Amino acid sequence: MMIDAEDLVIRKTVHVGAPPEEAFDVFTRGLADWWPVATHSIGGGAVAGDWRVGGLVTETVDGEVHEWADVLEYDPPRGLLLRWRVTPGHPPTELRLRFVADRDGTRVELTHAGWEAFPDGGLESYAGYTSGWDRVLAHYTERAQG
Amino acid sequence: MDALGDRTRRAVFEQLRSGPKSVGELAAGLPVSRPAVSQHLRVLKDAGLVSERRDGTRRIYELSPVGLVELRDYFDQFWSRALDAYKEAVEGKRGRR
Repeated sequence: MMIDAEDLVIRKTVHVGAPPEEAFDVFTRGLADWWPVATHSIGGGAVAGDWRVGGLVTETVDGEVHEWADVLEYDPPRGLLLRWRVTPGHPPTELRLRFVADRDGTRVELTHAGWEAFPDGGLESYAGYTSGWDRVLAHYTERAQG
Repeated sequence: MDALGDRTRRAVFEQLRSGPKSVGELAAGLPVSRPAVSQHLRVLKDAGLVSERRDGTRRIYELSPVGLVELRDYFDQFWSRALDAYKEAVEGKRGRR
């Protein structure tokens, strides 16, 4: 089975009841208010972002600063591109956010790409994994509509 | 993904994101015993997420470099949860006004 880089891209959309300016602001400057640090962080530390091109998104644990991402594009309130350091020793991936005015609020589109840069070992096992996709997509549809 | 379904196991996995660690180092950063950490590491190893190597008499654990599909699936599920929390933050902020 051929694996296309496009097949690996993670795409998520969420609609929020606020204008793009506010949606953008909560995602960036308000990151520490909603990021689930209890379960998704290096050590439950303090999350902070320097929101400008070249700025870093970091987590500070016991005085030690861990770099999560750096800002490649910063275009409020339309969008943002981050170079996401998934794990040390892995190639970084790209996380793009778009904020589009929609109905009485904003449609926030997230794409997480660049997985094809990972070692080939992962891609080989991908072929045997596609049956899991129906389940994942069903879960996602539920989420998106919920 | 089941390997990351447990809260403590996810915490073990998250700790290894900052670099290779021994069981003792992992247990020091978590509110669970060393045997419990070893148990979680075994599940993560079976899932191909974590690998083990020897450093003298110590066993060092690190994230497996070939877990592309697992990592991708992990983030796929993670973003669903994180965006729910994000939506609540945006709308909760408006509701408080």
